Amino acid sequence: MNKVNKNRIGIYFWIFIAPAIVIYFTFSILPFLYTFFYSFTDYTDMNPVNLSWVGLENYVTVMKNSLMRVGIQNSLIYAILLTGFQVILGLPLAVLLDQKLKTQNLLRAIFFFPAVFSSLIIGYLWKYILSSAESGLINSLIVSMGFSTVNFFSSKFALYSIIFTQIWQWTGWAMVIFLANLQSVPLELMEAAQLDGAGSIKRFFSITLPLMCPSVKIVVVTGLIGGMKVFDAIYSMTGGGPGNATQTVMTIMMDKGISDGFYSVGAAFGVCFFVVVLILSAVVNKLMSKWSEAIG
Amino acid sequence: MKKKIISLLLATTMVATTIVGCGTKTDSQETTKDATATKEEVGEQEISGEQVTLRMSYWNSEDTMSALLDYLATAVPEVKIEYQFVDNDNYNTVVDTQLSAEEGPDIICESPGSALKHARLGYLQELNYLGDRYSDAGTSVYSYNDNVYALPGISWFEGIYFNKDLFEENGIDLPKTFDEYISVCKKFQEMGIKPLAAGLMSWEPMLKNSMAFVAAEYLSADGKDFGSKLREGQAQLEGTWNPYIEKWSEMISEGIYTKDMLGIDHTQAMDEFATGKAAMFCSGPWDCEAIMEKNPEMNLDMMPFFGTQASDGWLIGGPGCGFAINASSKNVDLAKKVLEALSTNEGQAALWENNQGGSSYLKGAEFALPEVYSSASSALNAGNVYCPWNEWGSAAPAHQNYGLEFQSYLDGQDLDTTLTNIDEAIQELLSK
Repeated sequence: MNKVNKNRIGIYFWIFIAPAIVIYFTFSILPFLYTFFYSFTDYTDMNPVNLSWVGLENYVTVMKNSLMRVGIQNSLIYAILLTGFQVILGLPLAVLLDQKLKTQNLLRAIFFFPAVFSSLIIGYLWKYILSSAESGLINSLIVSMGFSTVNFFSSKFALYSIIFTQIWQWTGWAMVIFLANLQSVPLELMEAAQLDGAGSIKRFFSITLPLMCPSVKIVVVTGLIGGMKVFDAIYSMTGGGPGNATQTVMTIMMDKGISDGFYSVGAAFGVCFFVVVLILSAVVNKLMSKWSEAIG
Repeated sequence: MKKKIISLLLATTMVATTIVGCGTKTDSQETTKDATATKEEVGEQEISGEQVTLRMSYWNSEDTMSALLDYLATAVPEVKIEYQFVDNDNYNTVVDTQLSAEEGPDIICESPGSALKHARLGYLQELNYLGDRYSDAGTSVYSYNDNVYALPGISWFEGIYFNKDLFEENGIDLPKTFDEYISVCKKFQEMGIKPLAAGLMSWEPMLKNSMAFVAAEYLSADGKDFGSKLREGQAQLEGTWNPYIEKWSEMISEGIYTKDMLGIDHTQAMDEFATGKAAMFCSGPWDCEAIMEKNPEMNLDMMPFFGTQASDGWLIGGPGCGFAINASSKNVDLAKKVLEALSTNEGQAALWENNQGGSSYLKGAEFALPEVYSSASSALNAGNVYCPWNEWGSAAPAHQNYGLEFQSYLDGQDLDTTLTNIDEAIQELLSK
């Protein structure tokens, strides 16, 4: 390829990529830089123009605020449990539905179906199903069996009730990712292992599971990051309550950072959250890489 | 080569579209389809015929204002109101952002808290000459530095709806004190009827119920200046409200408010009441139509909240939305004309049309109280309608923290911690 052609390719490359770069810079990079800047100012709804530099004051406020610690703790519990159960339930489900069953496609569709809907819709639906009113679906069954109603949205259980509904919704999505990976596992390997006398459990742990590393990595990384950012499921089911029992990073940022007008504290909280997610992603990536190397 | 040229053109078009899309609309782009119509530029408002379009924002849907909008169309024919509904959850955020960018609505519906904030920031036009037409009770919560910045709409109130048939069939008299109210609730419990339906998944019911009790016991007596002291940072709930909340807590200890209710939302609680499973339900005129739709046969009435002493009772409420004018509006004079039309008996009647039950703060404007509120009429006539957090100034948003902390209180948190947490939220807001 001569030099003129190389230059032309270079020009076309930049022309085609320019819109994406402009959009990404305008709507992602620039807002983040602004957020970082505002986190060192006294920007509130009462002081939107004449901003002053306050150093690390907003970060100190974030660290001292027990509600913000509750938010990070709840987000971590949500992300870890949801991702963990997605893998624990999604993986065997994928292996099961990779078998030659007559109802294979139907079952795959049924398990994936909840993921098609918005988390808000699913949230409002489960709010009615789990309601402690006698008209709530589960509680009406409990009452009809002669027991008293159960409050699934008490301070103790509310977060776990929400996690349960999200496991119900997103396990099918993880299953599809695992299925795609499963179908790339070479049949020859399985047949050879079978000839060597390996049973199905031995084949799963020695061949299937190690080769599933790429899909597990996708599910874990996207699940953890998505879980840390949870907002819609919480908003639709409990709104962060009762009290502050189900507040997460995003609901607190909405309430404190935006609704109450503490923009600079909200910005500092956002930067802290970014660092937490960055560290979490790095740790998960490192662990996954070690797993890949171990089986490689 | 042809393909490359087409690709180049497409890419250029994409970039140009993005830039144009993000750009600001200029006056030259505002040409209307009717090229023959006479056009005259007034500020930056869109003009259709002789009318100037003014934007009005509110957190209630348009049907709650339809009669007023019809009236304004005839009373101020040179103005066309473009109604902008913004959901209550996002209302302050949206309006704050628009105002700070000097692109806010011409007429803004304000809560007392947001009116104070916007007045302090210089976003609102002073309306003293119109404010004089209203009673002080209505304008005081919309005043800042002795100037009135918003005109009070029809008042809102919340009391205790009750199923008259359930009371009469079981021979239960209406209570006159808090202790009698607790006794009534116990009688219903003994008969296997839920005394009070409450959707405590929302932070509002216990906020209003407990504050009504404190209003009756303290804020209307020894604590009349509590609100003004609180907004100056000179008063706090912890240490002051404890004895009143401890007494009110019989609502919890007697099993009227239960932990199970934390898993029930407002609509489900209303269903329980409307279907006769519960005898009482706390709410206001905005739910009356829905209750009657669910059970048209219901014999509905409303009683006020009570303190320990016999009285006319108390309702939680105050001036509804306050109508304010954006100081940056290009059409302040026309917006004033709209508010002048609103500040007449006819304007108030039109506003009341879709908000029946409330009363007008305009001097001389009086409307008949619907029969469904007859048992609350003594409280209304005595002027016992009070919203404590309206006096909290910039700490007014802390009433939500109050409601949330009371959810935790019901779920086992001790009272001192509950009140201390609310005080901290108040201090945080006052520190801005």
